[in-house]
Amino acid sequence: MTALVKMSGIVKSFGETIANDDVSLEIAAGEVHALLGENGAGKTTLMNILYGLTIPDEGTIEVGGVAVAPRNPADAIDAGVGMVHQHPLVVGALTVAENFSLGGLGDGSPASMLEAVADVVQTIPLEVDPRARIDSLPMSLRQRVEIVRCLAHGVRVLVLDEPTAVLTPNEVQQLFGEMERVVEQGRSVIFITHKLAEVQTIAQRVTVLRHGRNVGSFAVGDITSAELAEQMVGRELSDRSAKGAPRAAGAARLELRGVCAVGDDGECLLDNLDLEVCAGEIVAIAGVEGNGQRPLADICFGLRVPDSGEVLHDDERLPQLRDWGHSKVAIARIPEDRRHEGLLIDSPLWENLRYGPNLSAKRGLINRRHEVARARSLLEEFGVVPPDPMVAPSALSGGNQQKVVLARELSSDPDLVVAVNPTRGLDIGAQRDVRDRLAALRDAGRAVLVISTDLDEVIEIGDRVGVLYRGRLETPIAQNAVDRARIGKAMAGLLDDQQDRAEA
Amino acid sequence: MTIERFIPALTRGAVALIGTLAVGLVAVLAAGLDPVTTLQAIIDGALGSPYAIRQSLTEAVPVTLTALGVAVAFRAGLFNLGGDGQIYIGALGAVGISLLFPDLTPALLIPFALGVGMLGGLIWGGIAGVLRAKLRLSEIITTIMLNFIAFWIVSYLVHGPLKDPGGSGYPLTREIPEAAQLPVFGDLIPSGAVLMLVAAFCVWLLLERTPTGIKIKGTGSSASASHFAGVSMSRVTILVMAIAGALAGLGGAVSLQGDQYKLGDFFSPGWGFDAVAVALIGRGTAAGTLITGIAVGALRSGIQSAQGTAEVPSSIAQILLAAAVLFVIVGNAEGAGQLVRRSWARTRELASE
Repeated sequence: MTALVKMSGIVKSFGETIANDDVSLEIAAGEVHALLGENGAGKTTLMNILYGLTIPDEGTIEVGGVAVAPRNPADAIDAGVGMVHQHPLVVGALTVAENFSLGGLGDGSPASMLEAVADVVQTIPLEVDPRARIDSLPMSLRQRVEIVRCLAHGVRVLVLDEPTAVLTPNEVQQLFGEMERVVEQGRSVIFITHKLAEVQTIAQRVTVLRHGRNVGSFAVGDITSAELAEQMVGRELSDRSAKGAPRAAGAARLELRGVCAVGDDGECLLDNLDLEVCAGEIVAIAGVEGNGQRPLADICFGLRVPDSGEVLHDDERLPQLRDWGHSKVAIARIPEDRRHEGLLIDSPLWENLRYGPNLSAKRGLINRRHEVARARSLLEEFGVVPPDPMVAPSALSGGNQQKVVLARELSSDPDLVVAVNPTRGLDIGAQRDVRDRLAALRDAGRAVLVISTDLDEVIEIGDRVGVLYRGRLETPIAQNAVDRARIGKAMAGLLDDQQDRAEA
Repeated sequence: MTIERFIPALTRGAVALIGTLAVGLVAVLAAGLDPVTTLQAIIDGALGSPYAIRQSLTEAVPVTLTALGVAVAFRAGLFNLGGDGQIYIGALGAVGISLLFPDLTPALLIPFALGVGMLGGLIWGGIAGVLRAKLRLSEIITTIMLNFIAFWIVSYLVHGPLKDPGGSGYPLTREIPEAAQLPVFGDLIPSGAVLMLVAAFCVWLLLERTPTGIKIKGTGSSASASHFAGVSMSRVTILVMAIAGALAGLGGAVSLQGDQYKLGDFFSPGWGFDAVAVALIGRGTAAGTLITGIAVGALRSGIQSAQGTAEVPSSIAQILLAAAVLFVIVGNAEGAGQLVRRSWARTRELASE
């Protein structure tokens, strides 16, 4: 096998997060090679390095046997590498032909643009009117325009970053047809995905990344989906079956009954979901991203009204957070994206520690000295470094930022905690802190719901564990009965009853 | 508090001051004037006598009040380019009340006219806020359009129904009765200047000491974090634009009742846009905007006076103001630049929706 692309020893870290840790990858000519892994596993970073969007800290790249070090996409395209992102980077206000000319085809005049497109389309069917404006086209055609534009530049390696996430099943079939035509021409396709079924359908080989490391490369015929799922979510970490009997949980704090959520396009995001989180337990929900975590979290946060079903907090309807000040909210909410959702990244910490539904002031005015003192003692209590109420979160590390979010959310003495991926992007020590904090809350009799795409985390901290797959919840099972392989299967939709449902 | 804390601010100030003075020097030399006598004439005209100080303050009031509103909007990530329209509507409200109820006592008529002027500006700004919040129309566009509407409404009225029949044909309303005119304290401090100080204090209080201020600044710095925190973006948008409009409307009413006494169609010499510059130089803070506004008023007043004594063209004031904005942004990418960037980011988000 001759490698068309050879990446060796790639290392890339962003601050304290290591996105790629000594990753090597070989792509043969004429193959569809799937790059499989959870969100945050480092797939996109690795491909951004190949495409010149990210400069690696270490490692070498060869394309067609020639060493390259792309500093920008133009270098990568010269070397024969093209990449199509999940959200195509074509200019909406321009026509298809104009977008081609932006990529350097033709001399810019309308006639030459159309001519250039005609040239390209002779070899690669486009089936799109070159005069159509991009923003009048559906996502699948925009994607195709970008694929064809890449091919028109003569790329030998085409990287597709989760192309199917924005497509309907029919469009996915069309895309797979195009991918087959591309590899028939002797080019290669690198296909980033976290969907196992797609790997089995279209790829010849697959490389699995987990936590920034290459777990292994396999011929698709030699490995089952279940084995791939295990590779993807890992299984060598702490097996906590020795944890002991599940503790007696108290009264239900959060109850979801028959909750459904429907997306903007009418697709089902949450399907008749039942869930109960009781005082004194941590319920952890595993699942590959995009299976309903976001709507589930938004519903529990009070940011989204379910389309049917009911959500109860302490046996009363969960209040919506439309605006503040109506009543004290006794729910701690730890969002997934602390930089953009959890914090005002450029505002002083004391304001951040107040920014939430429980912000209020005596007689309408804030006593700033009091607030700053309160902030300082909270920051010290939660071990934020530096405990300076006047600095902004942008000056803090990720772990300290998360501590600020925790400090704010826990300062209102909540009886229910809802956290989404609470340790994502944190170093091991900070992960430890956050998980210990959640466990302490449980021990103090709070109800804790953790929605996480990190299976290790779910198994480590969950007293009961559930799996979210395509908007359906595998009912949480007690931790001492957790079967890791079974959870991996459930995450991939491979349990027998899940398959029955899919067929039904 | 150590001196190091102030060094970046001092550096920025020095960059802005030196750059502005350099541009001013070039402009003065290009106009064929002697820089020293020109500067002397400007300073004399701005601060040289009690009358000069009073004129400087009078000139500063409308632009500063409007700029305080622009500053509040900036902090919420919104551009209020509608200061002029809000000023015209504010002045129209004040002139209407003053002429309709000439027999009220000053203690009633002055606050009544000012209040209606403020209300007019509040509505004018609030319209842009509602359009932004409910229909997702960019406030940059709508405030400019509302400027035209306000200007031509006033223009129509002062050429027609409200034109002073006893005037010598100028498109002006009748002069407002004395009972509506604002007093000057000790022949030195116009009452508008007191209102300006009070307004600046209220804006400071709002932004720095109230939950609403935290929400305003929060929505300006992160829409997603504010959504997560449960802040209603549309309520804040409407509130902020209404506040901005009310302050500009007050500026118009104060200028009418304290300085011009008649409404005409060249009532505002462009205060609405000067206010944007003033708020930017003041970095969106109440104190910064107040100080900048007073400085700009003094500069304008000084140059107006120097026009007579040293033949300094009034366009020098505009050149200096523009240069000051440029150099403040150059010297201060983190402050003024950030206000602009954030507001642009919010506008771009709107465009991409």
